[in-house]
Amino acid sequence: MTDAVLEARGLAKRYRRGVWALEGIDLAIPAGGITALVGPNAAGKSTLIKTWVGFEKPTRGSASVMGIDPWRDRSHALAHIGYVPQSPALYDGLSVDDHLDLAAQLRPGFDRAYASQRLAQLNIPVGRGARSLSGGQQAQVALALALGTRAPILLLDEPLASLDPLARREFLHVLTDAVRSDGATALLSSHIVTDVEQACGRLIVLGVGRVLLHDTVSTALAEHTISLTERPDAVASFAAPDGSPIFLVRGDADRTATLEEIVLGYLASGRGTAVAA
Amino acid sequence: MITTLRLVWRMQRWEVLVLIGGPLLLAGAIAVVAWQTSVTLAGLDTCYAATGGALSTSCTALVQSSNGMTGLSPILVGATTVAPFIVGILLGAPLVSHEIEKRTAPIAWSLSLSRVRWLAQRTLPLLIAMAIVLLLLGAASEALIRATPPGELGFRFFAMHGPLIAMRGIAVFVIGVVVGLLVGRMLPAILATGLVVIVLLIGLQLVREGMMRSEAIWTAADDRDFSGVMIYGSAYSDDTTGQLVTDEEAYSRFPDVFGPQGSAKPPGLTQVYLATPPERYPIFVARGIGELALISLIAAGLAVWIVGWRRPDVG
Repeated sequence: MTDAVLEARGLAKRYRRGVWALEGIDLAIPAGGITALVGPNAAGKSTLIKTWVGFEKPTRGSASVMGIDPWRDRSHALAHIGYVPQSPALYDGLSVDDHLDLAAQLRPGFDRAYASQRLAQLNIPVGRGARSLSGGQQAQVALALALGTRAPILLLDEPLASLDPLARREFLHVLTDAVRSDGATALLSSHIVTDVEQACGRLIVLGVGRVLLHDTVSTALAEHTISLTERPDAVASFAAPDGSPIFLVRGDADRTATLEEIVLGYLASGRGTAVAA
Repeated sequence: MITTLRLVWRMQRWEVLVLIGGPLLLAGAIAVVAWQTSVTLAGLDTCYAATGGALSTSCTALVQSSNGMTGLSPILVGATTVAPFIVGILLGAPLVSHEIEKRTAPIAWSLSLSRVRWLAQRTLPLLIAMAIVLLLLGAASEALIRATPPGELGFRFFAMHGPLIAMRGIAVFVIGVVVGLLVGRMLPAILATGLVVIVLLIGLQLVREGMMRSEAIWTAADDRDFSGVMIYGSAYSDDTTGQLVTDEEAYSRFPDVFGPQGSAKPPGLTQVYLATPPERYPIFVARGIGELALISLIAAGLAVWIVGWRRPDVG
């Protein structure tokens, strides 16, 4: 576990209104590749990422970025992080070029040329007002700002949520390419399993503030199957698209499980039942 | 530095145009009126000296011009008094709350390794520009008050001219930044800042009134020109004993003197006023600047503290 770049130990977060967003999270994400953080709305994905960015103070437990506590030593932790927030908002009145200038001012060592080159490859007009760009282009600008930091860790908080399928595909392509070429570690949160299936090598399923599954995608796929009949050793049961009950099993059963079924099974185990989309 | 200014301009060009350009125009207008007033009054003096009372047509025009400017002066000075509050609130309160409400803060705060540095980059260019413009406005207002008879910069014009205008703007701006950081929404931040500033102003005014009253002394009416002096009471002084005699007592003692045909000068008594001496005026201005500087520093400290732990989103 010593090579983990992102760690959480007994991490819990309770908001002022008394709601627990995270309850005893234990995680160690190793360096390299893209890890998908999957879970339904209000599962605690954003809170977990924001805790690593130093935006949220843990109520209990600890979080660390390359061994640094991001709440106590935010500047050192942030130096290792490139962050794409949920529904990233760009500045009114600033062009894409201005955003790169702003980032270069704010972040020492910001690689403006690299970020600019990434945007040029996507034919994003850098002279245009950033708010006049499409949602997909704005997300690409936010990603370019994170990539320009040249940080070894990229934290992406549901950047795909408001994008159309083509824009989602482009975004993931750029992310995969950047992670591969830079050797960075990316954590990508999403509630759409199919989007992250091809891009991510590791999977974390988060449900109601707890880690339900943390494994590599290949291992998860290899170790899980679907049983069409009830099994006492099933992880969980949930409804197939036709409404019939199916059972996620760790081990051999009737057929292989898809990644979406694995995720749904673990989410169902966290809260009772689920319906396959 | 140039990049910073360019980005501030692009991000807030309308605020800069209206809230920095507006007071600058006002300062220019006041300076022109002050200069015109001086020229007109000098011309009138020449007129009176040359004609010995009967005015020529050109001199009559000067009188009309002078009357017009005398009527305009209080309006301009009044606008000067209000300007630092409007500018300070409308520039300061939305500055950070806008970033939080419009969700630009998460990107900025994740890019910047120091939120304090980000706050400084975000606030200082506007704060400095505002302070310079308000200093100019204060100087212009001072020139106008000096040019307008009786031309005294006294307590009656307290905080309507000079460096206090700029210092008020700075204090209100920094308070606005703090409230904006706490509230995280633009309109509520503007309203809350207005409320905080009103409460603070009333408090400062009460303290200042108390100080001025405590430093007031009884001064004979003939001894000095009382224009620009804050008067808290009037009475009479007994010429032989030096004891104070209230106005009512003086009226009852000498009803004829105060009657329709009387001279209003009771024998053996001298009219005295309880007033803060005008010599104290610069001290009160310096004290006022000091109070506002202290408030600004405390507010700046609060802003630095809050920005350290605040979430970058609303709530």
